[in-house]
Amino acid sequence: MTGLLLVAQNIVGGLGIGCVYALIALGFSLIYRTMGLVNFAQGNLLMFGTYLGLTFYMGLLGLGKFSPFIAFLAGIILCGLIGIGLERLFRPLANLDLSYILVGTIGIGIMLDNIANHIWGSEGIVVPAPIANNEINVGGVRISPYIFIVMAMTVLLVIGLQLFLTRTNFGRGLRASAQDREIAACFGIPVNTMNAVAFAVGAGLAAAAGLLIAPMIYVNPAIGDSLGIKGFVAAIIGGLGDLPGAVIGGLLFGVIETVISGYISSSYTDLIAYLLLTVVLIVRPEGLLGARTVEKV
Amino acid sequence: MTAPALLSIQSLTKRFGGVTALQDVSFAVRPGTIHGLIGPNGSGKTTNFNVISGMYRPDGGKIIFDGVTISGMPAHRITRSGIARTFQNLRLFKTMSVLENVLVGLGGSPRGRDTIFPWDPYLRPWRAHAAEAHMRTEAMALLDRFQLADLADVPATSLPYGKQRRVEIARALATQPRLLLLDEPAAGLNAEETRELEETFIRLVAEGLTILMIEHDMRLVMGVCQWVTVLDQGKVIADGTPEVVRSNEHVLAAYLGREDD
Amino acid sequence: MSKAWLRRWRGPLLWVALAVILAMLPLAAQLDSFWAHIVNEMAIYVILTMGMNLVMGYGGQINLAMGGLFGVGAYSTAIILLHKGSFPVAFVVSALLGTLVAALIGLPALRVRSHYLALVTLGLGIALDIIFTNWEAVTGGAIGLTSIPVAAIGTLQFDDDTKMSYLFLGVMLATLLIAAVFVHSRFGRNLKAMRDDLIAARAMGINVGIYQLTCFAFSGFYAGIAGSLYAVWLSYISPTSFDLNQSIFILAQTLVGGMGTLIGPVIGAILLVGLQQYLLSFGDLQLIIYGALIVVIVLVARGGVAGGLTALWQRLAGRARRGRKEIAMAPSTGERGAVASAAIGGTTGGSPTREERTGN
Repeated sequence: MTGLLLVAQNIVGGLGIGCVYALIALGFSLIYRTMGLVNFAQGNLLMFGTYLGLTFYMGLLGLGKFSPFIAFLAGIILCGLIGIGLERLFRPLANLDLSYILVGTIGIGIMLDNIANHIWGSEGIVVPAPIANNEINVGGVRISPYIFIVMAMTVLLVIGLQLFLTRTNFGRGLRASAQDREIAACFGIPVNTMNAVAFAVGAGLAAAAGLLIAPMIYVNPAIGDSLGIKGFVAAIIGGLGDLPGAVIGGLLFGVIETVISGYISSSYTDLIAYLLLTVVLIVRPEGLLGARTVEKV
Repeated sequence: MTAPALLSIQSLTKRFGGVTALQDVSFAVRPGTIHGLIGPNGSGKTTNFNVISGMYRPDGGKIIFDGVTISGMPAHRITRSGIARTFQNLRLFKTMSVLENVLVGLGGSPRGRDTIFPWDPYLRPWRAHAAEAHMRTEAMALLDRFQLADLADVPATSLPYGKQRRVEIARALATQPRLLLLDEPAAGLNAEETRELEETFIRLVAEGLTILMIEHDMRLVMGVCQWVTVLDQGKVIADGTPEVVRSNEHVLAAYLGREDD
Repeated sequence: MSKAWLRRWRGPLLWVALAVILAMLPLAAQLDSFWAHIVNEMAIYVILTMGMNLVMGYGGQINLAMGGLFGVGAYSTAIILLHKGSFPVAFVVSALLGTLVAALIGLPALRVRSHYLALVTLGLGIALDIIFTNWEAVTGGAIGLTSIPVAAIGTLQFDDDTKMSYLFLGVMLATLLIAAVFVHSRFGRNLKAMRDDLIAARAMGINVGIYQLTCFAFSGFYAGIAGSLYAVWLSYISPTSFDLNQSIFILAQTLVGGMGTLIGPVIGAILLVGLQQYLLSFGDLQLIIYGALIVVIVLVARGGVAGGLTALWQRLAGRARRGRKEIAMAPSTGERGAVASAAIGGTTGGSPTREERTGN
C-alpha cells in the first residue's frame, strides 16, 4: 500500500475517531461556557452512559435486547438525567468558589467508575457494530463502513445542538456565557435551569460519544478517564468554551492520534495525548483558534 | 499644567463578547494631580481601572505609565511598576487582621520584593525574622497615619465600613505607588468621613502621589480634582478642569435626571 | 515584646508540641509490629496529605498527580537501593526528583486557570502510571520491584516496623515543622491572601502563578519523601500503588481532615488510614465510599474535621475576641469568586452591594 493511501486511510479513520472526540469536547466546552466550570466527571459520564445504552443494546443485565436506535436514545437520555441530577446536587455550591464543584465532580467521577464496576463488572465487553461491518475498499483505501455511521450521527448531533442553541428559548438562554451570568439573571433567565440544561446536554453528548465509539474499542469501566482526557485535550485545542473550536479540535486530535498510532504502540499514544495537552496549555492556553471565551485574569 | 503625563491612556478599547465597554478612550493623568473619572453607571469607569491595573487585556489602544507601556502586562507587574488600586466593593483579605492586610501590601512594594522560593525562613531564619519585624514597624507607621494603629490586630472585615475603606487605602499605599487608583472611595461614607478623606488625598498628593479617582460624589470631585474626564457608554465625552466639565452640555445630558448631590 | 512574640509563634509552637507528642508514642507504647505497621502507614500518608493540603488548601490548586509523584519517590529510592546505593542518598534523590517532576507538572500553572490544572494533573498522573507500567527496564513494569533492601543510616538498620517507626515519625515531625514554618512565613501569608481574594492578591503585586508553582513543587517534595519511605517500608512496589485511585485516596484524606489547616492532614490521614483497615473487607466499595466522602464533605462540611473542631472551639470560647488572632488557624471557606461581595459581610453601616463587574 502506498504511503499516500496509508495516510488517506489514517485520515479517514482519524476523522471518525475525531468525531467522537468532538462530541466529548463539545460537552466540556458547553458546560464550561455556561457555568465556568470544568466538569471533571465528563469522561466517567461517558463511560456510564455507554454502559447504560449497551445494557439495552446487548441485554447486559438480562433486560432484553433492543434496537440500536432505542438503546442509543436510552443511553443519552438516562445519562442526561444523571447530568440534571448532578446540577441539582451541586446547586448550593454554585455561588461559592467553583473549585468546590470541581472537586465534587472528581468524587462523582470516582463513584461512577466504581459503581459501574460493581454493576457491570470490570472485565471488558466487545460490542458488535449495529451494521454489517466488513471492510470496504474505496479506491484502494480500506475503510470500515461503521465509520460513516459515526460521522453521520455526529453531524446530526452537532446540527441538532446548533439548532437547539439558536432556535429554542433554552438554547438562547444558554448562550449567555459564564461571564455574563449576572446579566442573564437580570433578564430573568433562570440560571439554575440553564446550568441543569448545560449539564444534561453535556452528559448526553458524552454518552453519545461513548456509544458511538463502543464498537471500535474494548469497553470497560476504565475507558472514562482516558477518553475524557482526550476530549479535554480536543476542547483545549479549540479553545475551551468555544463550540466550533471543540469540533475542530476533536477532528484535529483524532487525525493526529491515528496518524501517530501507526508508528507507536497504543499505550504510548495516550502518553502523547497527555503531554500534548500540557504543551498546548503552556504555549497557547487559549487554544489554536484564539481567545474567545478564556481570559487569564 | 504642562508637565508630561504620568499615565497616558491612548485609544483604549475593550470588548466583552458583543458589548463594547470602552471605545477609543484617551486621556492623560499628570503627575501630582488628583484626576477625577466620572460618568453615569455603566459608562465603563471601573472597566477602565481594570484595564489599567492589568486585570483585563485591552482589545485596542495602549496605556503608557511613566514612559513604559504597561498595557498587556500582568496585574502583579503593574503593581510593582508603581500603580496601586482600591476596589469599588472592597476586597480586603477576609481571614486576616488589619495589620496583616497592610503587610501583604508592603510585600508588593519595590523594596519588598518577594523571594520566589521561600528559602529564607529555613536557610536564614534570623534574616527572615528581622525583615518581618522591619515590615511590621513600617506597617504600623502606615496604620498610624490613618488612625488605625489601635485596630491592628482586629479582623479586617469586622470593622465598620468607613474604617474598612481606610484599611484598603492604607493597604494600597503600602505598595508604595506613584499612582493610586481609587474606585469610589467615598461610597457609603458620611459627610464627616468624606471630608477626612479629602484632607487625606490632599496630604498624599502634597507628598508626591498622583491620584486617579472614580467618584459619584460631585462635591468631592469638584472640590478636590484638578482635572476631570467624563465617560458615557464607553466613550470620553468631556475632558478638562472641573469648571469646564460641569457646564459641558454633553455631560449635563448624560447625567440628565440624576441628582448627584 | 515577649507577649507579641508568643502570639506570633503560638501557631508553630503548638504544632511542634503536637508533633513531639506524636513522636513519643512508640516509646510510650512499646509498639509491637502490628501497631507499628499501622503507625508507619499513617506517617506516610500524613506526609502525602500535607503535600496535597499545601497545594490545595493554600495554593488553591488540585494536584491529581500526587499518586504518580509518590511513585517517582518510591521508584527512585528502590532503584538506588537495589543498585547498592545508600538510603540517605536515595532519600535525598527521591525528594529532589519529586520536587522537579512536580515543578514540571505545575508549569502550566503559570499560564492557566486552576480548573484546567485539575485535568492536566489527572492526565500527567496517568502518564506517570503508563511510564511506571511500561518502562520495564527501569521500573520492572507491571510487576514492579521486589526485594528492596532495608533502609540503613550508618550502622542503624531499620529492618522491622518498630524500628522504622522511629525513622518515619521523625521524618513526619520534620515535615510538619517545615510546613508550619512555611505557612507562617511571608510566603504563607501571601498564600492566604491568594486564598482570600485572588484578584486583590494580584493587585498587591503577588505573582500568583509562581506561588502556585512553588506549592506544586512543594507537594512533589513531600510526595518524594513519602515515596522513599514507602519503598523501604514494604520492600516491594508496583504501579498499582501510584495510580489515580491513590491520588483520590489522598484527596479524600485532605478534605476529610480539613483543607487549609496544619492539623487537618494529620487528622484526615489517621482517620482514613484507620478506616481503610476496616474497609478492606468491602473490596471495590471502598472507592465508592471515598468518592462519596469527597462529595459529602464538599457539600456540607468544607472545613473538614479540623474546621468543625475550630468552629466548636470558637463557639465554646465565646465570640467576643477582638484583638486575638484566632483567624490564623481558621480553615478557608474560600469564597473568592469574582462576584463575591461577601467582603462586606458582618459589618455595621453597610453599603449597597453592587456587583463589581456590571461594567461601571
